[in-house]
Amino acid sequence: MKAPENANTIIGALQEIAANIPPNALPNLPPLETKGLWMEEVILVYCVGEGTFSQDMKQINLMMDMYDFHGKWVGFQQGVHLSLTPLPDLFKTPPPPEPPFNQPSPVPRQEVREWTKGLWTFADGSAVYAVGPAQSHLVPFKDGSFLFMVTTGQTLAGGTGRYEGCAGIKNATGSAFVPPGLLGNGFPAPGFKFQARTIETFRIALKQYQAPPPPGGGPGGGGGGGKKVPKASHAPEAHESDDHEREV
Amino acid sequence: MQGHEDNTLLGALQAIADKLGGGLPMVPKDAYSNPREELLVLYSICIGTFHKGPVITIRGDLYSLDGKKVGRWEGVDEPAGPDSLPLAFQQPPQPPGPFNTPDNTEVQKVQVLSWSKGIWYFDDGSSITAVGPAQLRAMIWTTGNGQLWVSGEQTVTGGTGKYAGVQGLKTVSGTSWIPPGPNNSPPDFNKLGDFPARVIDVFRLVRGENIGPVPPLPPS
Repeated sequence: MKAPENANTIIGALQEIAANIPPNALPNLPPLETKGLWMEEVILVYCVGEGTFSQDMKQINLMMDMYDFHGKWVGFQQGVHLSLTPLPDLFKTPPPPEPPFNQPSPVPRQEVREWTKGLWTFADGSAVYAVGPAQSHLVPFKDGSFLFMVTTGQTLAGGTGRYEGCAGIKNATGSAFVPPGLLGNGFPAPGFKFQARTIETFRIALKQYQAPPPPGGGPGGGGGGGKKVPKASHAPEAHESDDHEREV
Repeated sequence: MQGHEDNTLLGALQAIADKLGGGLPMVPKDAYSNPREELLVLYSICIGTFHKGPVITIRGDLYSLDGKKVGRWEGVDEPAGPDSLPLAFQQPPQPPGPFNTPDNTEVQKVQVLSWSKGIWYFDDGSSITAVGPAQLRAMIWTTGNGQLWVSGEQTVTGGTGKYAGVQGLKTVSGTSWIPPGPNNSPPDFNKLGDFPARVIDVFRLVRGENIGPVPPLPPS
């Protein structure tokens, strides 16, 4: 066996250390500090794949591979985005919200005209379903090209495998580059295909960590607004108090 | 990425750093659609406050994925209506397929459960504001703790400093937890006061200097 070129040197010792660091020394992404309670599963991925416009150009199908932030393939997603937003409105930006942001104050409400649904299948075959509202935006570059962006905040709506009976949320923000000359002349067009990229975040509670739903489905009786809310504590450091039941 | 072929002290240290992830970009380049697009994936350690209304305010320090503090943020979340919290305890029905075609497949028009606004201050003095809907989801863990998630999609409405004239979209993935009630009673999702929270924000941005005029649009 040939002796290392830098044997018995500081460089050689450091090279040996580097060679013996296992691949799993990579940092957790996302960091563990992003989790709530220990049972919560937090997944951060990016997806690369193809989008396809429907024949009526109101829907987009996404078929994408899913990778963790170290670049390892972790599954794939299939999703559908419904948009009733007219093309000119995609360039519009809502007015800036009024301060303050650190105390209760009016929050603007926009008309929601887009929704998504999807199925995310992980490498072990387990999968989650999710649905939620969405918003799109078109940004014009100076050279006549565009960036088409979509964001969606979703709620998990079922799962299979290790995610059977799961609860939680996920969200995604994606984009697609539209070359000069293509807007309205292919993008969109019936059946038109384009490359899309997303970043997606999942927060999941597995079934085995979930207590049975509270009677009536939760505070207020599970959908019937105006019912009395059960009283308990909200947080250990609560500095305000409300000793009375109140309506939600 | 430098490897063992670099027989210098710097090369050896770089090899160690690479193995430990120091040589990796925090946001993979394959997540970008264009070099003029800016992606920020930040997390925050937050304190939320439940006010009468009900309204939630939240504030926290912002960190990049390598744990460096990059700023702070504050925001307001307002439930859409009196049924928002009860509905948060209900899982939406599983959507029907197919999922692999844009045609002949129905997308459910789900109800928005809350509305949010926020401002993100960066340590260089720049800032970004955004607004948008946010879905709520609540449940109780087997430990008796309550769980409240906020899943938001927001439109960037503007910015200052290096983000003056910025456009883009962002997401909010928020989690908060609530202690069990006394004597194993259910947690109170309505009590006023502070609670701990963690948030992951993902920004897709185009800075103002890269943005051109809106073109004449073809007839719809």
